[in-house]
Amino acid sequence: MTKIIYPFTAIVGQENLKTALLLNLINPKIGGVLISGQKGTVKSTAVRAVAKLTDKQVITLPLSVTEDRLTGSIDLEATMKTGKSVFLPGILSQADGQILYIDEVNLLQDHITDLVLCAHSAKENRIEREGISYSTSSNFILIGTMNPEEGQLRQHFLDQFGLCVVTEAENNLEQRVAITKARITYEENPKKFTASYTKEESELKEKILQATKILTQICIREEERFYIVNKCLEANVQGHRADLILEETAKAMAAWNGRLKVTEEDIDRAAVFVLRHRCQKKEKEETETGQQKQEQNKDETLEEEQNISSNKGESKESLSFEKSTQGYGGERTFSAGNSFKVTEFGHQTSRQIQKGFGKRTNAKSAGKMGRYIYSVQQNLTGDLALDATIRAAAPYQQSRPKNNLAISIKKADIREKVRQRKYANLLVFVVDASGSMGASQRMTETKGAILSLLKDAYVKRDKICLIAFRDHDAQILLPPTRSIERGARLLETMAVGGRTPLNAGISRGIQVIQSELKKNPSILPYMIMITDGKGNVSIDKKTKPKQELMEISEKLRNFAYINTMVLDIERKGAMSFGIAKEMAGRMGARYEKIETLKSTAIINAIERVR
Amino acid sequence: MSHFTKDQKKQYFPFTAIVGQEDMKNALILNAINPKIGGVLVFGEKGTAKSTAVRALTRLLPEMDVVKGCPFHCSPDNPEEMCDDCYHRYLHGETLERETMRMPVVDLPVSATEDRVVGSLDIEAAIQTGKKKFEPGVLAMANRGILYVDEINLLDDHIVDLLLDSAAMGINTVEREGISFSHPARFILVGTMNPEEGELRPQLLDRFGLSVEIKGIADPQQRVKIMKLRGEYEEEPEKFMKQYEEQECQLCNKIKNGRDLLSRVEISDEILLLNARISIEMEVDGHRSDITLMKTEKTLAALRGKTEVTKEEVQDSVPMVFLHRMRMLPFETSRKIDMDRINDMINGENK
Repeated sequence: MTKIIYPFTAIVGQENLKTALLLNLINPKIGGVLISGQKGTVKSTAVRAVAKLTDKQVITLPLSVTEDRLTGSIDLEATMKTGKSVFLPGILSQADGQILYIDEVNLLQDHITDLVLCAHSAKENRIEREGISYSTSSNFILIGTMNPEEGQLRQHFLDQFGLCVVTEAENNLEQRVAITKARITYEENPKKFTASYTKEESELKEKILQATKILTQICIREEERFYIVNKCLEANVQGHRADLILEETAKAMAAWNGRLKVTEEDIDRAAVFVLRHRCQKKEKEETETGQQKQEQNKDETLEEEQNISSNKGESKESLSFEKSTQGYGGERTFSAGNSFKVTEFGHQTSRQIQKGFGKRTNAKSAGKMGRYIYSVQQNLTGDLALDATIRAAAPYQQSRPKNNLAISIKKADIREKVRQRKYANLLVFVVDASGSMGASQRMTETKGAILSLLKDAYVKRDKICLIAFRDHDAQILLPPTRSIERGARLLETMAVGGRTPLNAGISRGIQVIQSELKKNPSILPYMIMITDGKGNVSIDKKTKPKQELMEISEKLRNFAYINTMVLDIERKGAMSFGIAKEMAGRMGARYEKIETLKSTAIINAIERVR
Repeated sequence: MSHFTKDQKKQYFPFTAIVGQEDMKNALILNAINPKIGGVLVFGEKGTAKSTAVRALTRLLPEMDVVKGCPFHCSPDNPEEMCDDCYHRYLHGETLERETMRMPVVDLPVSATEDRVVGSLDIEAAIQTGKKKFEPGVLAMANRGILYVDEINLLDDHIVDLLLDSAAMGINTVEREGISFSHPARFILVGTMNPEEGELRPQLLDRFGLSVEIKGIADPQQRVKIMKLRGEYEEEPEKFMKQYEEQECQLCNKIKNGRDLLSRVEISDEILLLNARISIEMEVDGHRSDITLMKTEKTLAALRGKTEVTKEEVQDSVPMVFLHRMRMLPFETSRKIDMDRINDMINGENK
């Protein structure tokens, strides 16, 4: 197969990335590196190139890995022949003393991630499964690449990577041309290109070898240790891992530079790699900087907004509206208010958020769809895990009567697949578009809020549905779809006017969810009602609107599978009634004021309900 | 399972008989000349001859030499890209038996499951003989051929991840169901999508070399012509194909000449700088666009019988290379390239 690998020394630029990888080769105790960066920034190329600089193997962990191959399990053929359980080592055992490479590590299934994490921190792979009790050494350098656009890693997993580097595309023109030229020359004749770097490669290899020798002689003094500890305390890291890794990295840095003494400069340079993904804001500061961040984000998104509008050639005024001749009270369209990022998933966010994120969309799948991760001894779904079943039967083949079959399988051997797939959420927005929304800036604000939620839905690839109620009835503006764009476009042009048939809106929302569930039982519905609760039209003309609203709310509470949120748009003041709050209470819904949406609390709420 | 589609059907709608859709045809031809361009993504409506064009394309290419019986159709002349089995035999000095086959076109249905994509445990062999054997999947079948994914944006996310992985590495690594195996998986990825149905993740978009946008043809006369041709073909396919034999042959030669010329096409530093400047101006991520742009320009020059890339090739390549790479804010509805701006840069009216 690919017998030729792009040489490490031929990589143009990306000095940080190269340094981080070399430091790990010099000192495997550092424990690996996470490479985070845009697509097309030689992340994978660099990792594969490293293999040529060391005697270590680079072992790839594919995304489609199943548990049995990861931890190891029964060797089918050998077990059947001998009638004894023979263990076949998995990737975690093979990786012992080597480099374990996970491409797109942020796309790995949670269950697999957990296993890798356990093995890496314990430096041991313990197997207690399929009748095997076994333990192998599993001490490896963990290298992962990820594109942060695709989602973040859990904080706990992040911490397992000794170092972290962020790669970016080169902006210097000459450098860019050099990169392109090198790549093309390589592709045209890989053999010749690689050969032309033989000298550089062997020189680098020699330098690494020297550095590993120096490393063993490096002693670190107490002075430097204090310097390290202070650096880590400053960054407010969790636990002590950072201190230890920083020391190892600084030592490797000194060794690389051919010195027996670790200097403060070594530590400073090492800290860039070690603390990048570990530093956290202190509790007190957190709220402040959090707010600042939001302000910043607001500005950023404001700019984006303006870009969008200018592209469409519209003027951006928060109160611009068009008058229409139709409908009483007049229909008006309000431009969407400023949107804001509803939450941040940067490296520095708190642990809770990331935990929630992992759970939001991943769930064990009951159907036969999704990714096969591991198997269990049960007989419920009929989703036979043949490999595991045969393995379970293998040890008994010598003793069982087989009636000319190659394998005799008994009921107790049956194993079924446990699959995992990402479930989409269905976010149903039920929006008040009545005349009262025209007052002041409320519609503009509301649209801004929805837009923010839509943007979040876009990132997580949720399905959305938009229902507006006004005049006599509720209208499905947008049936459940993944095209968030259409939602946003509709939002721009959504007209306002007339009375407030809130009850019809809610019941239409329930209908949509129920019919969508029939088509797609795995979807997780979430209904978000944006209203002040002051409905003035009932579905059943004999019932008063408010009474009917409360009845519907009670009913909705019984649909346990529908998560609900009421986003209250009522302004504070003499005229406030607090009906929305009461309605939320009856529904058992989460209740939020529109102002609070700007905090991360809401998205957190969506996560936690799962 | 005998999934090996050698596309033995004798009858096919000729490439040159496809009316219109020049952008798409052009992008496909460029990939046929230089498979390293990295495939095509077609944005567009249903029923616009996408699949027909892909299938017809392979008829324009000479049959390729493969190792007889190899499930990955390894080339007997290229040890670097052989599967482990062929490579082993090659190393031991065995003469690998040859046969020829047409470039395979493998369809990946939207409902495909993971085990069929990457391959899995051969159930039959496991039960009959108690041996574990690797059952090759779609990625194996597509090696050295074209992997055609209709409505790629509707594929399950985790399947898309797998495609992305293999497309990038040219290798499919399988560690599942007791099987540990890896094999070459180099293919031209041709995908289609309708953006109204939802977006494809930027990471996967970037893996496509080129993209084109196609629409149904609005001109009534052209539409009638399409209907007429289709009718003629269906009635007497052999006669129809005969009518196009000469045109097909011409295009076939053009592709062949392009392939021969490709390695001799030169590109000046001036053009390379211009390429880099365009990439920066377009604010695309990473360096893949620079590299693809250069390959496309060279291939286009080869197709045109030139030995040097000129500004003309830059101008014609930019839309294909950048359309799908443009940064799109979540709520922008379509991708647009400011060609006026690019033309200014090409003509040196920019600093």
